[in-house]
Amino acid sequence: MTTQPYRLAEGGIVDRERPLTFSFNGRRLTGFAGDTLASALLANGVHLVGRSFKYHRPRGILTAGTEEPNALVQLETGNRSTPNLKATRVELYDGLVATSVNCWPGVSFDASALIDTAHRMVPAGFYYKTFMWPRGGWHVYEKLIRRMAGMGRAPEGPDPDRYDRVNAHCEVLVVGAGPAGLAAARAAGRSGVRVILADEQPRPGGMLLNVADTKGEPGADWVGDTLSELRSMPNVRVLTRTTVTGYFDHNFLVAVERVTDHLGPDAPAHLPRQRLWRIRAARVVLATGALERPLTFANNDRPGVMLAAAARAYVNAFAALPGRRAVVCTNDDSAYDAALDLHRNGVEIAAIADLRTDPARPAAQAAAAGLNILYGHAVVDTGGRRRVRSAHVAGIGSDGFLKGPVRALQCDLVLMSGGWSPAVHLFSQSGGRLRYDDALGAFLPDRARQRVQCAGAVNGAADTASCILQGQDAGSGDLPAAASAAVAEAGSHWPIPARNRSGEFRRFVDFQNDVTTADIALAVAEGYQSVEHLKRYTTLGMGTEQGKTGNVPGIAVLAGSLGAPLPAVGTTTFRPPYDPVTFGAIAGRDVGPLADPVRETPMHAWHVKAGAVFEDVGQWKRPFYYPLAGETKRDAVVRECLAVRNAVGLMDATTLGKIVVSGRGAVAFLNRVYTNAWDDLEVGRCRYGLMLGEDGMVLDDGVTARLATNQFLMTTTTGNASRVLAWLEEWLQTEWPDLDVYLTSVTEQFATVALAGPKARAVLSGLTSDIDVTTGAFPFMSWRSGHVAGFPARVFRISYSGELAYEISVPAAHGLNLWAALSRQGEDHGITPFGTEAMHVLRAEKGYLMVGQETDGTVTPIDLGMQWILKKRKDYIGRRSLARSAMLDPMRKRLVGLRTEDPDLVLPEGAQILPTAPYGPPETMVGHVTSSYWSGVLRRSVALALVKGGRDRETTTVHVPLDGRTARAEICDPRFYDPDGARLRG
Amino acid sequence: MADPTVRGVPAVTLARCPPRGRINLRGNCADPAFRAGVASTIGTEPPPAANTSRSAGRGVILWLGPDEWLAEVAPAAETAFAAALEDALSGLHASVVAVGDGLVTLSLSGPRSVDVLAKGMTLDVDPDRFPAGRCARSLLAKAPVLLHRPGTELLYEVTVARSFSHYALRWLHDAALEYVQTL
Repeated sequence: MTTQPYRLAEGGIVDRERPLTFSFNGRRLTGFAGDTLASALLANGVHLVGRSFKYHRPRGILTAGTEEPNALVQLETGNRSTPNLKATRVELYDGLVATSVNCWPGVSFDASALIDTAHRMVPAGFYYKTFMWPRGGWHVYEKLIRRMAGMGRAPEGPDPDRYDRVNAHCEVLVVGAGPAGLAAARAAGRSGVRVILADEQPRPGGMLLNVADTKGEPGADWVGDTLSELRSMPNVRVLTRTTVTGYFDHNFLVAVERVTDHLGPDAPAHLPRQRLWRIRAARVVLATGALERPLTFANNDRPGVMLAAAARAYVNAFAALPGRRAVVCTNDDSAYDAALDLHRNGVEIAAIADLRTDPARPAAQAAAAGLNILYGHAVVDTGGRRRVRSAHVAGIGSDGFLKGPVRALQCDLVLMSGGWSPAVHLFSQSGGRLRYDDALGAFLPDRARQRVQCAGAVNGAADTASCILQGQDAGSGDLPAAASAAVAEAGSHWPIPARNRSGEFRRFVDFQNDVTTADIALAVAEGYQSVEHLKRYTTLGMGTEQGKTGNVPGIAVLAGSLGAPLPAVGTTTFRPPYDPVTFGAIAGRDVGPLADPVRETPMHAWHVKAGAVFEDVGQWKRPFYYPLAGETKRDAVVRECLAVRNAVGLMDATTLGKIVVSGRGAVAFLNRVYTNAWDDLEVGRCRYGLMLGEDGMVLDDGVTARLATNQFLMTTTTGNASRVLAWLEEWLQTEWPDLDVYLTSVTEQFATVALAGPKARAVLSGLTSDIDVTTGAFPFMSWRSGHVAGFPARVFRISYSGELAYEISVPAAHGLNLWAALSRQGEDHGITPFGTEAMHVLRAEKGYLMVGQETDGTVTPIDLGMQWILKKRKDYIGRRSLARSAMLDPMRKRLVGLRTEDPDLVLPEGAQILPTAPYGPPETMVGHVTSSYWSGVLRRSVALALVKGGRDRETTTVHVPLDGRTARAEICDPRFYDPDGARLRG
Repeated sequence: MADPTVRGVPAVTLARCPPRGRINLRGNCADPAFRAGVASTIGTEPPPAANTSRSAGRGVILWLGPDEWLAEVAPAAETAFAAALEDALSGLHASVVAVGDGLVTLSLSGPRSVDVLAKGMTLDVDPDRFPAGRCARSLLAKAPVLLHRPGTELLYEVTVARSFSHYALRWLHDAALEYVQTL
């Protein structure tokens, strides 16, 4: 039933019983289960799959793996759409929808391809040059360049898929499940330790999957046997479709497992699409293999020009023919195996052009098969546009120039092999040093910095037997045996000479970024001689491919241009990730409601039911205000404030930090961390304290109660609770180990309700029988223990509203019931729940400081007019900083009240304050508004501000520029309401 | 790794444990009087070894730090134990604070519980590496937790501050989803 003209009738891993339909650029095509998108396209004879980044040149499929620079696709549509995926790694599923990236209106006719005819205008670094000349031109070009460059499109809506992240620990992590990796995992697994084997392919086997006939060498059977042994070991975890992308310090590696990508949008919803593995390994074995390199001949980028090993993989593993008539160009032996496998499957090999005049391992088999081998020859140019149509072959002289005639050979496939680059990326990321091996023509792992060993092709081993041997050694923890054979004999002929010097003969080094040999030469001529500078100037080795194929050829061309030996040029730094990682995998499940912890008080359910609007305070959800039907925020806040001023309100104060300070050194400790003195505080009394940093700036404030002779209960602001505890522990542990003090957080142990207003006493007295709430027995700034509503409670008579108020703390489990009891008890008194906004208004009316609002880390107690709290005859944190002359400068910004001329105007917080009407920038700014509210009880706005000179400027008029106009306000006492505090003591 | 799911056994079971009495204990473990005072009350000395717990008939004591422990007792007995400890340790530099209401313990059990925990914890919670009687303070996702393996069965206790309990429950439930669905 196949309609796939380039599909072989048998062989490969594809399942011909399971045909899959997919769409590519709107064309409906058929492939088989087991295909990649690339192999399915090739089976259908589709070679033109994308356009290049800069010149929009037609591009095909160059590789069969992760290193693919050309065949990038946009997979799926809508919010699930993923840009820039490599067709060589996208596994085919039924209904797959893919489109080419970087082309418009389509891949066959791309309007931007005009740029290719004008390529001389856009050489290496052309956009840097547009910065320089003509002046202002960049602003025009930028829009054009941005539109033409860039590849796929990011989806605009939220990602519908689940992602996950998991931590793993093992004694041995093996990266790569080719022969070396499988052998290493087996050897390590047999020792009983925990082993993780990670491989990016859907099935383990590595290169062995791409080999047709192993001629007695270990092949598919060996892979199957090894794998079933690994799967039988409970201590071994085999992760397929898992790319190790980063190797960090302390043998910490990050890998991405594509759990359901191969199933497409129909994957089970409960499974994550991808899972990020964070692996901590005692020991790492890198069996990452090697990547084949392209050759740099003219027009080496046409669709149909492919790496030899990739073609071999398509024929053997996927039973897809990449062409019917091929020309092979090589400088190493492995291309012969590819040519033979293709030949065996009916592909006509027009010629094998071997750059070497006298290959070390003569291609006897190829010759025996009757293949036409041309020694000392190369492909020097190709013809065709959307598909290669011919290869031009010529002899290369010992001087490096063309020798003899150039012959055009008709073909639809050009295979190239420029030798192999060991995939040293992870080894390099781990901090390992590389060395250049002249015989191999490649950078190899040298000295390791972490507990890591390399085995197999990454180490220079060329044949399966030595890969397995090295893997066994590394897996057992032994030093791997030296490689028995070279990866390749390469390193010469970079670049291959062109037919003439015309720019029409561009030889691509970096296919994805359209970097040619001429670009490198130009960069060198312009002074970019370091390989790192060259990379930035030409974009060589950037993008999704990161130079996997073009790195060594590029370095070789640079070395040639500089006349320097290749190892002296070196490589650019290998950085994570080895392969692009989706944002989804990085975020994992920390998205939506799980993005950050939401902390709730025991009364949360009541607030929700009461229709509270919540405010985030740190991670806490606190009721902001409780709107009744039809109320605006301002209506609700005014109502809540007036209830507290005239009757009684209740507020959830559970979130305040609470720390038990106990021990013989408790008083001394408080004396040092607070600015005021604590020796004379009696048991049963409370005191307000201000905490400073070493710089003398206000850090936190709160009320501390003396529970017993050597035990205090300290409160902190909600947002600073954990920071203050850590700060205090640091002082205790590092500076004052001699102080006998223990700190214990009890923030979560108690639920606290603030009961505030003139009727607060009446409400409380109705709910307690063992606490005498009369003023004489229970004065302001004291605390009592007893029972409230039947629950064991501590009641603190403290106030942040300026009204008669109590804070009632009960064990957290009783919080909700206490709240309900108080609500019921207060019904007759008009009890009203109030939120944080009303609390802010009430305290601002009183001119009380709010840490984080009036303070920002640059405000001292003196700035706040709180000299009264600075005890002169003792030492405390921050004291010496306050004595610096600059801290005493009367022109520092200090706390004042602001009374707007228009009483209805509520100034925006953060507004700048000018001493005069604005006269145009730069203005003289003398301060800013820190808090600003509408006060229901005063029927006007109130504002607090930090202003240079502070209250010395009282009654002065200042100017506040607003959007389009300027407001006038008078500097005043910040205590707007009940300045003498008669109400809170009543 | 072979799939540890056993047909018939839930892959993961997540539960909120009933309330517990808990006492935060601070003191000097090198002082025999401190050890004796604790032992006379709870029935066992505080474990001196880092990240270990000790259980006795009356409760369990978990190591939290070089001078800090958490004693778990019956909820109704929390006040009485706290008072008894105060008495037993009076005169020593020690601190006894009841904290039972501030903490919530969740339990995670079943063959896949390790995989669920591994999603949110960087500690090695492999049953062989985190044996019975091991405890540790760490993070589960973004919540500070105390992890404890009370016995030899595959059951982990995750103790979080009360205000984090909804987040932790939700997070664990979401993490377990893929294993629960496969059964």
